[in-house]
Amino acid sequence: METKKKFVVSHAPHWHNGNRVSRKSYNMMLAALPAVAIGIHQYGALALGVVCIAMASAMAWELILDLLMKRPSSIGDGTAALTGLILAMLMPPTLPWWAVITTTFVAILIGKMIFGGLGGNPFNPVLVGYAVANLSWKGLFDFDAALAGGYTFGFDMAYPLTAVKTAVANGAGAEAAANFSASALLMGQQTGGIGAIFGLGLIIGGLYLIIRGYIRWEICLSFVAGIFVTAYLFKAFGPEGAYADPSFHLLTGFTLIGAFFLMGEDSSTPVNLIPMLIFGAGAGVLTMLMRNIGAYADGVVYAILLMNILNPLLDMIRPGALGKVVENA
Amino acid sequence: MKRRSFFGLVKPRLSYSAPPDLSSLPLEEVPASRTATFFVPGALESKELLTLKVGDIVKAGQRLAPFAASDDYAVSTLAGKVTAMEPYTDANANNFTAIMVEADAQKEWVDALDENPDLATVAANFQNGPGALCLKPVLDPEVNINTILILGMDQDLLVTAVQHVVKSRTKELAKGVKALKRITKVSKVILAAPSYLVDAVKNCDCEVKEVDTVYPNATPKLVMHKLLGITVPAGKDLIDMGVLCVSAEAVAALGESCTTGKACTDKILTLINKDEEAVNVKVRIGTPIKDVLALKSIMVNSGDRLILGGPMTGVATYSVDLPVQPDTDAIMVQDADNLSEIEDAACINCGECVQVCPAKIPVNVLVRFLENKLYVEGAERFDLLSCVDCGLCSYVCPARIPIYQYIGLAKHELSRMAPEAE
Ligand code: SF4
Ligand code: SF4
Repeated sequence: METKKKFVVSHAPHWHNGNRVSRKSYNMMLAALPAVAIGIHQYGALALGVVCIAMASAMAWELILDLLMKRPSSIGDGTAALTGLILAMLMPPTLPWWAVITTTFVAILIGKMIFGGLGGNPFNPVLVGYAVANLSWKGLFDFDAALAGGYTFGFDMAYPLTAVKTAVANGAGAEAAANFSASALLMGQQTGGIGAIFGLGLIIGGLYLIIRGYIRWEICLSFVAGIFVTAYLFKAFGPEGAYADPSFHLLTGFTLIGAFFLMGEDSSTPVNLIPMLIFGAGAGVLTMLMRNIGAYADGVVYAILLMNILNPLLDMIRPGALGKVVENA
Repeated sequence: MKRRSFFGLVKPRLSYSAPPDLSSLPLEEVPASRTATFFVPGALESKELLTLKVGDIVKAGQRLAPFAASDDYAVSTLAGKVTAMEPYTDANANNFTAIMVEADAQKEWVDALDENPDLATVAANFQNGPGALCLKPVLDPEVNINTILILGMDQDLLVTAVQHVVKSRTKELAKGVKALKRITKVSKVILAAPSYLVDAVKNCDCEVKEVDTVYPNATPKLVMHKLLGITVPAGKDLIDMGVLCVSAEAVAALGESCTTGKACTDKILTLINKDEEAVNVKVRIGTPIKDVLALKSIMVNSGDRLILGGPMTGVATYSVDLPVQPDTDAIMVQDADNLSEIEDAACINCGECVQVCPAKIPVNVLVRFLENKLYVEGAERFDLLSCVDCGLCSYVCPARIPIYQYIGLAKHELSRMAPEAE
């Protein structure tokens, strides 16, 4: 008798479409490149340093924490590098190295690892890291203060959202916002996070991710719509001239990076259609409430974190499955 | 293997293959093998009580019913001597008795059947014919079958065996439909076929419905839902709804037998090689797989995958000695280098499975429960039993979780638990 050949016996399906977790990570990094490149171009070596330190430290924390927690190494999925990159995009270029690596540590440990790793995290790790660091070192994250010393640009160097926030209190938000033209904001002529200033680059990156199906357009676009509509309502029904244009809010702060890169995190966002729309729109509305009447100049980070809390609840709104047996029927 | 498209926004549309042009491609026939093996449901326990023994001479077309107490049987597709009887367990842990018959020179057939066989005769002689016609539910006094659904469509990608039958055996199919109506006394017969085959079945005396050719729309439960407007409740099957689902190949075989008076011994199956080239061949039921592969000189080596069925739902198996069974519509071989790997990663909640699931199951949540063996919760709260077994969720999962395997396991565990609960 011939020697028995051993075949691979595994369960169907025997095909796979070839997608893997790391693909999304790498594509998101690719999509972020234009925005990051302009940020580095504008802020110079300091910004490059922050990006490198953030990515390297995030990956290092991932490796170390995997080892300490005796988990299989997850560095290969690319999400640690992505977390580092997005965090850097939110940071001012002047952030000291120790603040950068602490932020990534918080993001990786508290944002992700203590929940059992990627997929278990109820919050977006980037936002957890950013929120904790921002609360701890408010001054370091204040763009006006951070950039005051070392930079001079050929455009208005006030952080747009802070400038408008101050003006809104005096009922002159629209006027303050008028100093920032939409085209200047689109082309990156504003101050802000390293990767958050180049609106056009973020839009191109975001559309790329949507078309390739790596982020859920329902969430992204409903977030943008939520911001636009709320800002419009404020402008239309608020006191004359008190509030800035919707377009101003779309192109400043973390709106665009939020729409495409923060909303693009899978684990903390819903997957069903209606929940996705509520999630995105809800975050948009909350952002605008914080910007126009709340305590924060920007509100994107906290708005999304708040919606993250609601996510498990929201995602229970789902279509009935085929042949679902209705109880008590 | 169909890859994720560059434009991932568009959800995958996997389409069933259409059968080949019959005029240009004559149906190749696998040469008759010296042996054939048949599986009869039931565990082989004590050889003393069997009504069939090693060494017995059987005729072609003869019922092989080794268990006196059971009405399960197989039909021998050749005349010869029983050379072995062994226990066999399939991938779903069902027990069978494998009966091996070695051909002799006589080639003797059992007496011809009546030209108009009655229900009992058909039920007692065709169960293991091509397409595995099972009329047990019609005989069961507790089941009321009011509709017969004939599937003139294949169940998996690349496979065109059933469509080939519909296209090439139109006369037999029409005759079979008539016979089926007469013997079962069920007047409502519906034939589901893809649009390009509707013409081929116009002579069948039954209602014809067009199946969509995007996978998995030919799955019985989806055909029921979309074409018949009957939604099978989760956890129930077609029989519970009074619908008997049969393959067009089985109906054609019945039609042929009514003419010839002999049981049909050959079936058509799709042979898919390592380059995913598919060809239909005619083969005698019971033929060892290795003889089928030899026809196209397909080599299977260690580390390759041998699949009974198609790429999405086929069952990987471990031996080329296994026989072609009445419902084996395809044999597929994958090269060791082309196997998609599975990983035991955690769900990242990307939602791809949810969007692709035809049964609208919250797969992302379900899989977390199934991974932790919470099968009852999975069924009660997350629609496990709505699953139509298409495998698309596993196909798209970027974390490469064997979701469909978890689902299969969960259903199996639940079905084992169910009788105990009663
Ligand atoms: S196999 Fe997966 S995708 Fe297909 S019906 Fe079942 S759960 Fe849905
Ligand atoms: S496709 Fe896989 S990773 Fe994505 S939600 Fe479904 S089970 Fe989770």
